[in-house]
Amino acid sequence: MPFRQFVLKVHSRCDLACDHCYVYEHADQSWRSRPAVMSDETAAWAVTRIAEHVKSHGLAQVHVVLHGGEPLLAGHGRLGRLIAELRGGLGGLCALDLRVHTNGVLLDERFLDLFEEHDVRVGVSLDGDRAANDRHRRYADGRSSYDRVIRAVERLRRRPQLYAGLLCTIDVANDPGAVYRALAALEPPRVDFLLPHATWDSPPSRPTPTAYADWLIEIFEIWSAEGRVVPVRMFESILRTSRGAPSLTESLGLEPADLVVIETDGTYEQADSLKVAYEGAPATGLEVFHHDLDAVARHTGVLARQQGLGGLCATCRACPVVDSCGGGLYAHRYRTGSGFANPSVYSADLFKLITYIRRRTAMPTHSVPAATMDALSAGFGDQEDVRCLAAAQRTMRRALLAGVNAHETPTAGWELLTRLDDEHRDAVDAVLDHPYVREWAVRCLRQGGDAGYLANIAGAAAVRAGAVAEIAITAVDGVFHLPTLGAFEAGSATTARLVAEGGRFSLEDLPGAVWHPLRRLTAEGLSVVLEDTDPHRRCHGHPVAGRLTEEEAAAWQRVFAEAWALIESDHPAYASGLRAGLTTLVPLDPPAGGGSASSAARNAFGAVAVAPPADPATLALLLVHEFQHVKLGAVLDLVDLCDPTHTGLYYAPWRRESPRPLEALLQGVYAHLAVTDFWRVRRHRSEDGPGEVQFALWREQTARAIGDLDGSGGLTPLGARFVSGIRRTLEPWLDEPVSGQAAAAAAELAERYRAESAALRR
Amino acid sequence: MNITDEKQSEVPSNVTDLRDIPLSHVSDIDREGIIRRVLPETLVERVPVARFNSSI
Ligand code: SF4
Repeated sequence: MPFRQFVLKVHSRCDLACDHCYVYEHADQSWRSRPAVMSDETAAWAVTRIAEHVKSHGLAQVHVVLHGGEPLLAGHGRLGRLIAELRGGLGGLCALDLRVHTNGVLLDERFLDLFEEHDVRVGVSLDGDRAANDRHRRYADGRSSYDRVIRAVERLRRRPQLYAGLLCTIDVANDPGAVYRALAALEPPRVDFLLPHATWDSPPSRPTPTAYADWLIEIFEIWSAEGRVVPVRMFESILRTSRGAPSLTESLGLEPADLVVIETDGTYEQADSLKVAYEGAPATGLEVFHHDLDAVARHTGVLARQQGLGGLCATCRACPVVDSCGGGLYAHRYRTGSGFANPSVYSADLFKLITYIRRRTAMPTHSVPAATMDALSAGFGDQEDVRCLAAAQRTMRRALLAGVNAHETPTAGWELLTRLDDEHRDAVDAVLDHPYVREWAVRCLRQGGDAGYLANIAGAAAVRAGAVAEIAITAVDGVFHLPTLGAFEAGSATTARLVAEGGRFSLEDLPGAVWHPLRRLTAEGLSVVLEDTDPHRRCHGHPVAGRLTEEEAAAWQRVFAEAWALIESDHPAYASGLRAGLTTLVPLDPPAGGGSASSAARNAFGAVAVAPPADPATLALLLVHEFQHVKLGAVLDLVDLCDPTHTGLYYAPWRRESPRPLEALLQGVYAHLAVTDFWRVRRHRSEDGPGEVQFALWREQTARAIGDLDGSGGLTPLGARFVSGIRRTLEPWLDEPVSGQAAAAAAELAERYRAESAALRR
Repeated sequence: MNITDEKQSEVPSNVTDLRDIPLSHVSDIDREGIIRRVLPETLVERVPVARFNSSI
C-alpha cells in the first residue's frame, strides 16, 4: 500500500530540553550521528521521491509534516526553500496538506508570513497551563518556555487560517481540568492529548493502574458538559471508531500505517515513535538518494504495521474495544523478547477510557440475536431472522442516502424527501426498502451515479404518501423511473416535472409519456415485484431483460408459482426466510450459450436476478442459491466474518476463472451448502435426473472449501463460529449413501473443474 | 441470566441503528461509519488530517 503521509525531519536538534521527549530521551539515540539540519540536496531528493510515489500510485492527496527536533531551527531561508520545493514539486500532482509542528519558541511573524504564503498550517506543543507546561517543557538551563509559547499561539490566533492546533503530552500529576481549560482558552481548531511514550520495558510512571484513563475521563466529562467546543482528536477518534468510521490518529484504530519519516540525512525511518522501543528500531536501512518509496513500502517493519486486526496479539484480537483501540500506538506494545506482539503498555487505560466513552455516548446499534446468527450460520434462518437483517438494511440505505446528500449541494429532492420523512415516514421507508435504491446510492458515492435521481426517490415517496408535490425528476437510461411504482418512457427528454396529489401523478410537461407500471409475481403466501423498469437493476453481471411483454410476464408468473410451491413442499427450511426477505425478481436475458444464469447483488438486498429457467425446479434452485448470498451479504454488512486485511486467494470450484478472496469463498460455500441440500432432497424426487451426482459433487466441494476457510487464518472469531455452523449442517450429509456410479461421476467432474481452473489461470 | 449470558445472547454490530433517526439528522460519524462498511475503498483518502501522532 502506498504512503500518504510523510514526516520530514528538517532539523534534528531542539532549543528546548523537555525531559519526556522521545527523540532525545529514549532508547534510540540515532540523532547524535545525524546532521543537525536537512541539506537542500537531501530535501530536493525527498521531494523527488514523494512526487514519483504520488505519480506511480495516482494519489489524490498527501500530507507532509515538517518536524524535528525543532523544525524552525532550520531557519527562515532554508525552510522557505524546502516549502517552495514541496509546493513546486507536488503542487501540480496532487492536493498537498502541508503542516509544521513546532515548540513555538521561535515562531515569529517572519515565519508566519512564509507559512501564509505557502499555506502551511502550524501545530504547537503545549502541555496545558503554566504549571503543567513547566513541569517538562523547559530550556536546558531550566528556564520556562511558557511565555514564549503562549506568545506564539497568540500570533497564530491572529492568523486562524494557519492555526492547526495544540498537542499536549499528558502528565497525570497535572490537574486535568486546569490543563484542558488552559488549552481550550486558546481556541485551537483541534487539540490532542498524547500518552507519554513508554514500553513494557520502561513503563510509564503511574500512581494508580488506570491513572491515564482517569485523567482523560475527567477531561472528557468537562469537554462533553461544555458542548465539545474544541475538537479533541483522541476523543473524536474513539467516537468515530466506535461507529465504524476511521480514526484520526495513528495511536488508535485499526487503519494500516501509511506514514514514513525522512530524517535529516535522507534515511527513511518507520514510525517516529519507535525510537522509544530500542536502539535502531525505526531504521529501514534505506535512503532517498538510492531508494524509492516503494522499496520502503516493502520493508517488513512497514508491512507489519499494515496488518490491521491480523497484525495484533491474541489478547488484542479478542478484545471488545479493539476496533477503537487497535492495540494502541505500535511503539507502546514493545517488550524485549516478544517484540511488538503485546497489548499496549497503556492497555488498561485504553480499555477503561474507550469503554467509558462508549457507555457515556451510547447510541443504539444493531445487533443480531445469537439464535438468529446460529440459524443463519446453519444455512437457514426463518422469517424473524431475515427480518432482523432487513431492519439493518433500512439503516444502511438511510445512511447511504445521507451520504449522497453530503456530497452534493442541497437539492429539491433532498428537501422534499426530508420533509416527507418527517411527515410520512412509512411512505419514505417503503420507497427506501426498494432494493436498488442502495445500488443507486453506491453508484453516486463511487462517482458513477446520477444524483438527480434523488428527486425520483422523493417523488415516488410523495406519491405513496398521497402528498401534494411538484418536482423535476431525472431520466436514467431512457426512463423516468419512480422506485416501487414503475417508469415513464423518457424518449429524448432528460428531466420532467412530476406532479403528485392524493396518490395520483403525471408528468406535467410530457403528458403523453408511456407509463409502465410495475407488476408482481404472486404465489401462495408470497408476492414479489417483477422488476423490469429500474435502470439500477443493471448491476448483476449479466444483461438484464428489457420491459417484458404481457405474455412473457405471464410465463414468469406460471414458473414462479410452481417453483414456490416446490420450495414450500420440498425445501421448507428455506421458505420462511425467502418469504420475509425476497421482494424482487429481475428477469435476465437468456445466456448466449444456453443454460441458466442468476445473480444476487450485494447492494440490492431482497432482489434476485434470474434468466428464464428451464423449469420450475431450476428456478427453485436458483432462488434458494441466490438468496443465500442475499442473507450472507446482509450479515457481512453488520459484522466482520473475515479479516479485511487478509489477502489470500483460494480455489473455488464454482468460479473457476480465477482464485477467490476469502469473503467470496465464504459466499460460495454458503450458497453451495444450500445447493447441496437442494440436490440432497431433489435426487429422491426424480431418480433419473442429475440430483445424485450434483449432491455428491457439491457436498464434497463445499466440505473442501470449508477446510480452506478454516485453514486460512483469515476468519475473525465470529467468522470461525459462523463457518462451524455451516460445517455442522453439512457434516451429516457427507455420510448419506450415494451410488458408486454417482460418486465416480462427481469425482470426475471435480477433477475436470480443477483442470479447467488451472488451464484458465495459465 | 447473568451478565455473561446476556452478552452472549446478542452478537453486537457497530452499525448505529438509524431507523428512527430523521434523514436530516443522520450524523457525519454514523454516516461515515456505515459508508465505510459498504464502500471501504471510497474512504481511504477521506480522513482529511495527517494521522501522525506527534503533530496536529
Ligand atoms: S484495550 Fe488493550 S487488549 Fe484491548 S485492543 Fe487495546 S491494547 Fe489491546
